Amino acid sequence: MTNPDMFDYPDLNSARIRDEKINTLMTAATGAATLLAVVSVVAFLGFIVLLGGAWLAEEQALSATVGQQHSSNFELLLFGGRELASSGGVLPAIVGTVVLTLLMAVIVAPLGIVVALYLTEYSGGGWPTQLLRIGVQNLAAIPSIIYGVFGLAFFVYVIGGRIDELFYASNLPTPTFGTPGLLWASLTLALLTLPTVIVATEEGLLRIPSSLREGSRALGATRVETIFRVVLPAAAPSILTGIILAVARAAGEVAPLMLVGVVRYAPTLPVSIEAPFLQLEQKFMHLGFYVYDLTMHAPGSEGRVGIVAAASLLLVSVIVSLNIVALLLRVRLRRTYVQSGV
Amino acid sequence: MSVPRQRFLQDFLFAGLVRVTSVLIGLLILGMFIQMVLIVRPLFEQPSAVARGSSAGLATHQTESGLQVLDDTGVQLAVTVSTPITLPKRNLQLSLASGPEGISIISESSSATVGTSSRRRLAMPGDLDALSLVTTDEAEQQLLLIFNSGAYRLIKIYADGRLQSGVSGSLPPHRSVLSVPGRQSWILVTEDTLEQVHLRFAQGRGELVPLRTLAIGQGLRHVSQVSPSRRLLVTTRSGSTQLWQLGRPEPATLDMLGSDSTSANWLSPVRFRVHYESVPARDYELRDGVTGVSAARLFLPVQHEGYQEPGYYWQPVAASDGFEAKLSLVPLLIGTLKAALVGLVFAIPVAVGAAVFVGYYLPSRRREQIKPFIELIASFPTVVVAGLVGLWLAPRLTDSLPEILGAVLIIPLAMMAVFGILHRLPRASGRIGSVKIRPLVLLPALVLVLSAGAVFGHWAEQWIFQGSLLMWLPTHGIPVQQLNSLLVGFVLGFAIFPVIFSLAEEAIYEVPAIGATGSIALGATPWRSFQDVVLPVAAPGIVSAVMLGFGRGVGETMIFLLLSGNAPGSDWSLFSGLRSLSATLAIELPEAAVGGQHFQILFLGALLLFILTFVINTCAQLLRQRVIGKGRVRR
Repeated sequence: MTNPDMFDYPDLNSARIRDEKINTLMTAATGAATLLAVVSVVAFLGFIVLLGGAWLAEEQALSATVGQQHSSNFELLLFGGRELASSGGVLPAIVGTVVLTLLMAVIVAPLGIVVALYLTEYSGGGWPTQLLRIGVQNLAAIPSIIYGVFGLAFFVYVIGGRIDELFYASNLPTPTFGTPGLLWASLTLALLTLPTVIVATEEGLLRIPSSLREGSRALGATRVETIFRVVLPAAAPSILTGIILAVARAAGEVAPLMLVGVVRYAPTLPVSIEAPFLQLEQKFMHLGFYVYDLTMHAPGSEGRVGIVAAASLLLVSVIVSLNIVALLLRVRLRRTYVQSGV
Repeated sequence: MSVPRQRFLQDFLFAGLVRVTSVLIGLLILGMFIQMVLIVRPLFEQPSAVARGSSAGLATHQTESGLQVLDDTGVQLAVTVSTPITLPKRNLQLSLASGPEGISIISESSSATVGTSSRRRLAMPGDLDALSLVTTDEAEQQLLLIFNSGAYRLIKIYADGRLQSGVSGSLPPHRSVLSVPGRQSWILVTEDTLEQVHLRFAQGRGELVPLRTLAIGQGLRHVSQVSPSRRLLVTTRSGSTQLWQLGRPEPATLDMLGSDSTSANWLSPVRFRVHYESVPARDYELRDGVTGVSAARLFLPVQHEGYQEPGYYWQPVAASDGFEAKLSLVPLLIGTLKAALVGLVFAIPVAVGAAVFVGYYLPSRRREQIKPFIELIASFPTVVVAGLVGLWLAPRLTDSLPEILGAVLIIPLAMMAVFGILHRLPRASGRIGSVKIRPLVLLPALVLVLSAGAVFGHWAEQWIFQGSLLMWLPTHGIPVQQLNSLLVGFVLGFAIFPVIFSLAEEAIYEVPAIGATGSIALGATPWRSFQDVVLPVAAPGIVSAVMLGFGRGVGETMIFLLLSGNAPGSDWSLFSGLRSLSATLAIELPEAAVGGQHFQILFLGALLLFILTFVINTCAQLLRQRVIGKGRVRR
């Protein structure tokens, strides 16, 4: 009557044993992969810090060169010297990077916020909105060099060329804005980081409970008043996170800049203490490009490792600390909302 | 009503501002694509000409009947040489004379520094009057004589002025010869067609071989060439005029010129005059778009002048005026894809493995600590990674290539070995599965396995590759370069693995835990429930993560610039360098003349890259949306 096989599965046992062995193996394998990932990140960070730090701390052996008296490698890095191929030193490159990213942030912040506002607060969700959303999503995946190509063709040659025709016709064979420069580089980077700001802002806006908006409207506020007095202040931390992430991304981007205005050596800074304070049409130096240039045109490569690592350390520490600030902001934000129970 | 007018207006204006700005941003994104297409389009346009008035005064100027050749390339020499040919590169002068034995070639070398000169003579059979072309090749190492009968002779010129009679052969009989800029190729004008021949070197010996026949179609009446461009105006017997761009397989027929033209002559590189049977001659000017580019030339093997075989070459800017530009995009595409694929091979095991561990095995609290840390690498500027690797790691990596290959290869072997050991252990040890794998246990194990691999690689190098892999490979036909695809792929893998990890982990973590926990409660092992419950749901997400990682790798620029050597090659060897599309854009675009052919082709490259990443990204997004949808259903 009863089939003995029903209760006696010799295979089940061995299958279970086999499964457990596979489980052990896979746990170990995936664990090893994780470990490898973490170790590689630590190793790389440590590598930069050790190599760059060691070079900076090193006493300078070459200071005997006439007229090049630097007390430390740190000064050499900042102000340059005969020992470096690009004689400018890293200080103008730092200034260039800072001015560029600040200008970019000033451009990208309002644009990103406005588009995010449109997507969450204004749009009806029809096909134009969907199209815009897809466009923004794809914008994030386009290689950065393509932005450079676009920036060169559209911003520099089309818009810049037109500006020259209209306002700087007297200089014309020599282009003023129709050549790569600071303004076009920051516009290109703004386009590049636009999705970052939009996505972060949108996330923040969506997290705000609609009861807040409805309450504000019920009390008689117009839509724009609701946005400026209620919605945006509540979303401020996410917006800030987005902008910080955008700045961090822009600070490390080099490829598009090579097409829209970065140079190896710029004789003057794009900022000055006299009017007009900011030379938008000028070419500029950039920390990331400095690293590229030192690496690419290094005759005795081994000797360059120290200074490249030191310049990298500067760049990486700025970017990593920006990212950590953004991360902490995000974590804190999440906690606030969890605690307030919305 | 209750809302004062000013506040209402404010509200209205802001709404308008938001909408207009968003639409503008949308248009800008669309504009990126459209602009590239617009710039690229002229590449594939048929050339056309616009009339520039009729030259009535010259209407009576009839061209001679029959065939007339206008030829004026700088190196073209008069047929009966009275003025000597100077070879500036070799400090030599050659002159030709009729001698008792036939043709005498006299070379005179003068050395300015020493102040001496020497004279040598070579006699050869032939008739000076029957010569249709005397010229040298580009390097001025050979003197080429082509006779009207089709016979040709190459004469080697030594540095000291010595001449040696070389290869001779025969070509189709012709009326005259046109020189093609670059001095590697010539065009024989025969009764009714044009035959392009080129100088090809095989085993150190040059020979003149037919390259292609220009398919004129209805018989040749008149041909005109302008220097230094590679364009020919051909008038056929039926009266139509064709514009030939050498290198392009078919001509552009200029229909607007009418069908009873007798000849067309260049006035300048873009202007030409057409003579007609019935009406006065007219001048025309070419419009843009005469580029000699076709899809076949960009993507199929092309037989270039002076090259042994058809192949893929990228050399868009000629070394000197008039040289044939080599415009194949294939080497750039191969370089890009090769490195991105190698990058994936390095990145996938680490990224997906880590994603499974962090997203599935690890408790949430630990996950929140580890994940942002790994993602930190994604925010690293790639220029820094590439720079340090290029300066510090690359030289060391090349030296220890066998050790590294050994360490990579041993991982699957080690996994199989571990599994085999577990399999043979008695059942009691099956409980190992429930033991927590701690980093403290894992780290030494990992180090042990990797170093065992390195030792294995070292050992293999000693025994199999006779002491040095780097010496062994080139002797077996695989050239090794210091900046090679393997290195680029490795660093690219390092740059894209956080991207893949982050997205794949997200896909795994998003799968509701209830399925897996339920399955574990019913007795399945964690891996079994991952494999059967979580993986089917998360798989599209993981695939999409890998695709996005691939897209990132394809578009990366700085790593390619600094580590790939940037030499365009069309092989798939892992030990040779490469040149990617992105690096080519970064290097060449700032120097390309705006609106020129090179500029347009670079934009075509950018457009290809754009489309490639766009397609990859869209597919990945679609996959991701599917997985999110599924996850919701299960919830």
